[in-house]
Amino acid sequence: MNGFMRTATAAAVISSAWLPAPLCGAPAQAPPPFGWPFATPTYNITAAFDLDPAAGVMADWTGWRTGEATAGSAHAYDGHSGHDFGMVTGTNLYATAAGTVYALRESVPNDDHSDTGNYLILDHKAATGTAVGGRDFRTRFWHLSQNGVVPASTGVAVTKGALVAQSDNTGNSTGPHLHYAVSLLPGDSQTCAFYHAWWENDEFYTIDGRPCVVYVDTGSGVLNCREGASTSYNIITTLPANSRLVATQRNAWWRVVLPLPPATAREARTAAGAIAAGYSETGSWADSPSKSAVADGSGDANRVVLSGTGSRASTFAAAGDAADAATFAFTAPNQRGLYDIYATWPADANAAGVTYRVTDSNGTSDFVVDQRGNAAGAGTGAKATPYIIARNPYVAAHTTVGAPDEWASYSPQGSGLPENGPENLYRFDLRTTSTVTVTVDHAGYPTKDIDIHLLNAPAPTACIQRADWTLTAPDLAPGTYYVACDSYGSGAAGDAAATAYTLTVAFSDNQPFPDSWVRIGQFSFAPGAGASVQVRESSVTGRVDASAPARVVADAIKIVPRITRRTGWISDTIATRINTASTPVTSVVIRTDATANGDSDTMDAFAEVPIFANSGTGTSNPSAIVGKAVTGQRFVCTARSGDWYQVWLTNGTAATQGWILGDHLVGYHTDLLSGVDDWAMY
Amino acid sequence: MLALLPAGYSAASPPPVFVRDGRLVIVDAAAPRTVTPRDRATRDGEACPPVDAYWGALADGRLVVTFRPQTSPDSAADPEPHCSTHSPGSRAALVNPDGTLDAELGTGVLRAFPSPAGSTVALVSTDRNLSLWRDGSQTTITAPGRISNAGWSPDGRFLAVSAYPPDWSEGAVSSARTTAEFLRLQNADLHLFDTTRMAFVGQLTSDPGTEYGPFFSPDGRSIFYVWLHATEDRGGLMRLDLDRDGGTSATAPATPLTRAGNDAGETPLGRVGTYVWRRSGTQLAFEAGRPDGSGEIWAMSADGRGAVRIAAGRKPQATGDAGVVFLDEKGVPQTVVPEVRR
Repeated sequence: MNGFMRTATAAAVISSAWLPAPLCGAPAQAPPPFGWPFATPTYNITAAFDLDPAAGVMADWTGWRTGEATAGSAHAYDGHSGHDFGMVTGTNLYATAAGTVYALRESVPNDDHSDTGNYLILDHKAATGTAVGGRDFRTRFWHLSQNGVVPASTGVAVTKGALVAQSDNTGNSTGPHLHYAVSLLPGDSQTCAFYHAWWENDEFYTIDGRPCVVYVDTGSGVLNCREGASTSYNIITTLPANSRLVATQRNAWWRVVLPLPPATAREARTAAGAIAAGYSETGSWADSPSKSAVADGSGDANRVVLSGTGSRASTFAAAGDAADAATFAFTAPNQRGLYDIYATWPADANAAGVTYRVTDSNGTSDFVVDQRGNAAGAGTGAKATPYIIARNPYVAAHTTVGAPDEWASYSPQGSGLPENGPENLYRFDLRTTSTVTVTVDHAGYPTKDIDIHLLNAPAPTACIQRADWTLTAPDLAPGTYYVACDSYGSGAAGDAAATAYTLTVAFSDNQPFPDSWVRIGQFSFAPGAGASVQVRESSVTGRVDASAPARVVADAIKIVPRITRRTGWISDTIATRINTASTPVTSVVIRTDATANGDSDTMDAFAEVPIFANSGTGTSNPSAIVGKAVTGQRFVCTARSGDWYQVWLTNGTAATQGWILGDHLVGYHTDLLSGVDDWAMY
Repeated sequence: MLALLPAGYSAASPPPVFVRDGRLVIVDAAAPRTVTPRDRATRDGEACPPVDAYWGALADGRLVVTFRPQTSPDSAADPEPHCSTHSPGSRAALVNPDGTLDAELGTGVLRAFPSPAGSTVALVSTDRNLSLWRDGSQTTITAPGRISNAGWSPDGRFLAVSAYPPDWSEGAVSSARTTAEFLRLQNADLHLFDTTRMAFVGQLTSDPGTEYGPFFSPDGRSIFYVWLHATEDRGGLMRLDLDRDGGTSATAPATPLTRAGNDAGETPLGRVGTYVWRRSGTQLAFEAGRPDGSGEIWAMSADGRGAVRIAAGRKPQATGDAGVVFLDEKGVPQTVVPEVRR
């Protein structure tokens, strides 16, 4: 069964009689990262982006590959760097995100094909406050009209949705169209125009006039849902009986939106440091080859084994070793979608700008993050919520005046000394052995008197060291510790000793405190593909010296899936179980073929459907004709009255509305996007 | 059909020729006519495919034309417009003034440039290779890049060409994965080919932008061309003066003659190949594009000043020393003597 016949089958099933009674509305959705480059999504993709950059291999945005698709279903050509949208000359084009003009050309005469054309290239970068989804992008518009670029020069800022150009046919082109491309900076690696939400949104496009989105019932059998439209693809999940899904027909397969609940964050590393199910590591943290040749002046004591499975160490101790890097290589889980990557870093001054080089399915990008930790720290100083020490050195100005007064003495160290006044409690977590120095400073001594106590548990009986002004705990083993700043004195004298003070806690070995965990960004990985996160020595701000080496630490990377929505493919066996009895309509596809008026004139396929100013009664409509539609044309549907459907029209400059008789509808879109607060990305 | 031919029209000059509905319209003052090229090798003079473009005439009056590309099965099945990865190749041929087909110049031809002396035809193929047709034989030229278009010196010795990088192709442009790669492929420079030595003898421009559409001044001492900046909205018609000893290199940086655009003080760029000389080299006429794909006939001084829009129309050609003949919006030849403002 070819695509055309399938269209006819679906058309017979989805007649206007089954369309829902409620009025239909424009799609409700979370704001996608990129908008449309044109006013309404009614343009055909005439040549799609080739997802597979390898020469001789083509994969369109639905996943169809060279040699895999049936005739007419491969909507890309090898190497194509963007999507081509067929459109009449002079169609208004809009910025898909806020940005600045990187390059433009607009002087090539229209309809001139002398090997160059007019173009507009926009940058969307954090440096200008226009990054998209936290990442830098570049969008390109080609084949533009002569004098059809609106921004006057490079560097001009544009807002999302701003009119930026008009389409044409200049350059290497055989017909009027827009070539729209998206690339990821700084590598400028090309990515699909349907980045983020667009990927999910492609149902809005007419490929060959086929009906698009319907509900299907899976029936009583269990269905396998696969990564792609072939049994050669991995099974994502099995759909239980009687599932109801939104599906897009694609020859013998249906692309379905899986009704998964919001995903629970699942980390690649468990709290104990083990590798979570679904992940695998191809290696531990590994030094670059050059590292072995670098003398580490700080000695082996400062080296840290980086993972439970490896034996290498990295300390970045030698200044100027720019090539030195530590890489965390891993195999992505066999599950498409977005992933957050978090990283921690020893919280010292060097951590103000740590650069992570991440390689994902979109290429390699650098991300600079501040990992010095929270200077103020969390907590209130109470026993249940102590102040959190999360920076080295930690310096805090607090007071015991008004603080809780719960502990009056300490042991085993400091036993017998009256600490009857109010006190504050602090906590820190040592990841590596470190010498810790604690100092308190205040005015008014001896009337005012704050003592310090180092504890290995949140109890006064866990005191391992105390001092009036300063203490040093050498080679403190990894673990959780507390510092109590208590007002010294018996009875009322203890209360009177309460005062404001400054506490300083310094660590000889910089620590990756909990607050230094920073989300690097959101990434996508091809299922089962290799990926990596790399820390580069040259990126560490201020560098280090032998006495205070910066370093990566074990389990310093966390990868967390962020999937609340995804799609998969199910086979043709559900084709007879289309559910047409529900769901609102948000867009419609026009048909002018024989079944619309009862005859069999094949020329009807080329006829035009009138669009009226007002809705009609039955098949009668005396109002003015405001437009016409042809078979396969798609409109956003905004309302319904009886068997009449209100649609958006566009002349390229302004949208108006009109009404079409339901007899001419061959398919419709449901509201795919409502209630979605996050997007899966391939 | 014809408007009154202006004074100064020389009957001795090759008559202007246009293409309309696949046929040749020969604007001959004595006998204006429309001819349908046909193959006299066949018994009944079988009609050739519709003419796609007329490129000029040889000294003996034979007309250089290309026929419309044959539609491939693929393009028939996929009529949607898209970035072409394969420009349709044309058949180039010489046609006698009576319409009979005289000789084939080659297939897969994108553009043809007959020399002023009418003895040689430079051919640019769909894959942007350059060859010279002369006396029935064709010689492929090893070029410094992919040739886009060309212009002959008045004496027919030199051929100025615009060349894109050697790895340029239509597919490479539409598949450029980085902006840098895309912009690199937009870089066209001018080179000079000496037909007496059958070798390229100099690179005339090296700007990272696009220099294309070269044509010589009537005295052969200057090359005019279009320049477009790679990333900024700058460009226009340029003049490059050549040295007087063989004319193979520039004597000074190119002089900008116009600033491209439609605003005040700007002049629209002409389509490539439509610049024609008037008044012995003191004025130019050219065709500018309009948003709907139609054209406008413009005229200006050779120094770039006084640009004036003459009429809506396409394919301007000089009529002797004074006027311009062009196709109006209905495809009817019209003549006019432009008044250039100074």
